[in-house]
Amino acid sequence: MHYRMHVPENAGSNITLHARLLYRKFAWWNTQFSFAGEPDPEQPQPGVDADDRKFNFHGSLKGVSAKHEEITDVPIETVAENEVTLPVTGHGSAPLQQKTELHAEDWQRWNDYGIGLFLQGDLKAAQAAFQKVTELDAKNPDGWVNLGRVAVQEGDMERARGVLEKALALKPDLARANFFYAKVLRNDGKYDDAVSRLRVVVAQYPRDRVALNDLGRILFLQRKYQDAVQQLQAVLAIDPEDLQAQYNLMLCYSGLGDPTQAHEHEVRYLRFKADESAQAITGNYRLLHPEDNNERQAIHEHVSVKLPVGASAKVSQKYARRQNAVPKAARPKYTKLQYAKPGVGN
Amino acid sequence: MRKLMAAAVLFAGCVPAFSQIQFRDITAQAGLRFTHNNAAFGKKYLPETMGPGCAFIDYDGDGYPDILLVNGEDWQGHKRTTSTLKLYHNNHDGTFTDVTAKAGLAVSLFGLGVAVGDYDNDGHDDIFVSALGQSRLFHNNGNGTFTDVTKAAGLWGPNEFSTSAAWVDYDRDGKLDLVVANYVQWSIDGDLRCTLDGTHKSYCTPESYKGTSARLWHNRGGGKFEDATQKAGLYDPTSKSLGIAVLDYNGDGLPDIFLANDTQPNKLYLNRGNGTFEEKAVASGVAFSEDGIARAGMGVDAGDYDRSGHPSLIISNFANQMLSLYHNEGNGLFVDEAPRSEVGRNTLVTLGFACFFFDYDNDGWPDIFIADGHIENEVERVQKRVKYAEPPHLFRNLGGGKFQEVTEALGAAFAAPRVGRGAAYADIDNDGALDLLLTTNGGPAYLFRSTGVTNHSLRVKLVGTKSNRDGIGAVVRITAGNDKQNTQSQMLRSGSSYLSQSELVLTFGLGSRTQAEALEIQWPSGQVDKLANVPGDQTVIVQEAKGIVGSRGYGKGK
Repeated sequence: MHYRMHVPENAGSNITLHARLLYRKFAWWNTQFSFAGEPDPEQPQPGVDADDRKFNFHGSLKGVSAKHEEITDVPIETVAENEVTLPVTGHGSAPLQQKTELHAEDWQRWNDYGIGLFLQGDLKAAQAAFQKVTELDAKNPDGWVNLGRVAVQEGDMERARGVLEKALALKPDLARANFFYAKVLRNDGKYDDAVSRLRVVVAQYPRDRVALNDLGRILFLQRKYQDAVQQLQAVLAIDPEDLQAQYNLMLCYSGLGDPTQAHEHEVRYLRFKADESAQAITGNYRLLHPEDNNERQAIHEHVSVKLPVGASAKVSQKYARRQNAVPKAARPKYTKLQYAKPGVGN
Repeated sequence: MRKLMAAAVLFAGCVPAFSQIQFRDITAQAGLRFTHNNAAFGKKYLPETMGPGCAFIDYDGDGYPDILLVNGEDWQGHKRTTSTLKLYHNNHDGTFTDVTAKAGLAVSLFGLGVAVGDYDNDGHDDIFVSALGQSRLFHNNGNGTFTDVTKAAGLWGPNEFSTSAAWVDYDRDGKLDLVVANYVQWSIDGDLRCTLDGTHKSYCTPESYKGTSARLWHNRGGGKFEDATQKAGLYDPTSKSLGIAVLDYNGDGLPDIFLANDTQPNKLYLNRGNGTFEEKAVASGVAFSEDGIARAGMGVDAGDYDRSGHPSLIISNFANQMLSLYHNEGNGLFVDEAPRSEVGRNTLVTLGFACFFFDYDNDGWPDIFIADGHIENEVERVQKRVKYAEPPHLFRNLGGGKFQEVTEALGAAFAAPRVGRGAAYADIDNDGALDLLLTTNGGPAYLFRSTGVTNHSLRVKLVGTKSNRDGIGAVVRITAGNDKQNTQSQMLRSGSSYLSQSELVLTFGLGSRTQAEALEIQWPSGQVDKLANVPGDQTVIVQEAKGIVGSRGYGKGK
């Protein structure tokens, strides 16, 4: 998520940004529902296919699975809070050079930040964050591994090879480094070498489904169907609904000339796989609710309201509060239920 | 790699002269002055970034392929220019003349794809143009003009986002039927906002929109078609199809249909021989990626690249998804061989559209061409390695299932980055080597002439009598030398590539050999014609159940 802020003309030479991250373990509604939810007696009986009755929260708390027979007031905690003061320059003036101060003890925060960016799909920013980890501690393989992970995701196998080899030089049996290096080797068509790397991973983490699946897939590509089945069945022993294992088992049994088993795994695969067309169902909703559509974009902006020129600090705070409020169109429709408005941190 | 190449050369028995080959950009001197109107004016409407297609069509039957270019048109309320289809006549001297108006093809529509086939068996190839909105069928009158027969043919009605199309005689009644791929349910009113960088609107990927079934139009004869989609078992409203390939993957003599779907599972429809199809993509291993997740299939082609006798599949996919090179194992199963070779590694970052097998150096091993170009002109803001304009890929088949990228060696003009979409091949100058036509989104169409090919070839033009007149769907097998392992096979096919149609003549590379010891044609009707000792360096015209009825030499065969 990116924030774009309009800086008032009279902001002065500095502007201070204050951010805090709030967290509550369970949503208020879900907590009420879990402890005291009961179907609204005014509602008609549900049909066979769906139960979309409204609930109230007046149910008995007797015997509820908690220390006390009362609805827990799950607190909202401030997980992190920080403040930064930035210099303000005039329109048209050259932007000031940003200077990032690096502190050795911050490597994990840079690493976590990079992982967050990576999961969001912001690969460029993730790479920059992981680069900081390696600058702070070049002897720590984590930064190199994560740089390799970004490069693999970007399809830049040459870059991935370079950084992963640095990680492996620091710690040859590091499972994560071996796992991603196996991907590079596989892209080179070096299936035997990739299998060796994955066996290093599986020896340390015999219940790692991702590594087992990768191993099974490469063995399938080598037409070593029986060996592949062994690895993929090990995945199903951990999670019988593992999609990738079901899919590749279907192919392996086809390769082995066993249509019965192949069909069995095809049926299971089709049962467990995601419905690719599901997203399209949200099309009309997204069209009608641009704020929610914005939220679903992997990288999206929250833009502050432009303050009137000469606004006082009080006015500024009022505008800021308004900006932080949930947009009307995005608010859940709870009107038929009797309960307090959910707070922040759901 | 050198060892591999040397081994391949020995195996194929060919001259290692591929290094002299160039694809020269002759667009300007050929007289092609075409700029695709993608209608983009800032709103980033999805159809803008998808086209256009192109075709080689010998519309006047003079043996020299002419060129048809598909065009878009401005959105209503944003009219800036008039853009139409373009037909260029081949002047036999490397130049082309714009005959669009004379041919009656100065038609404006939001065109995307094209398929060429003689649906009424009158000896003149007709044109189907797929479009956003109403697609069109143009009947070739045989006198250099075309007539829009969409309504009379019964094709009027569907207002869809149609993409690739292919002519196929699926029921083997001797009349070409038509399969049309459809993309998503999109309209200006239903256009969604997507963003890559959080600030600017970008083109949405198709997950946001509902799919649309492909359509199968059954040719009833008399110039009439009926919608046979449901009856034939092809109806699937979840499909978001961009590419079509026709192939006989199980070797039963019946044409099967493959649909490349974008973010939906690909479909492989096995022809059951009774007018219906059975979907087999999942069980065959061509529906999904290795993770069991649908990829973004764009273009597709089928070809016997390893002389196994079975057609394998290539499918171009989105950026960060390598090309799929599905090897046909001959038992109903396909195994992706892309990661084993440069085909996979070198296509991982690029976004491919048109893709096909063609033997550019006439060594007898089908090579792979891929037109690349991203859909989003601002993609570089968020991804370091991915570019909007990208060079194409040309992978030389080394034999033994190995490929080597040779794009840069074929000339700087050819290897230049472009926003590629459609592509087709044909021998435009009767030299026995295949030339290339490439379209770009919002840009020119490029014509690349092949020079420096020294290997021999044999070209086969089919004339069906009981089968459809073009012989579309016929499988031709050529053995150069007496070794059965030297047998190449190709199906004469409409469709394939992306939105485009290559010439309806088959070219077989002979390497250093100068004749085909055996030439076998398995016609859609079931008729099998066998010919022996056919000299190379010529185009032979083979009539069903009759044999060679004409020829034209080139090179040493002149």
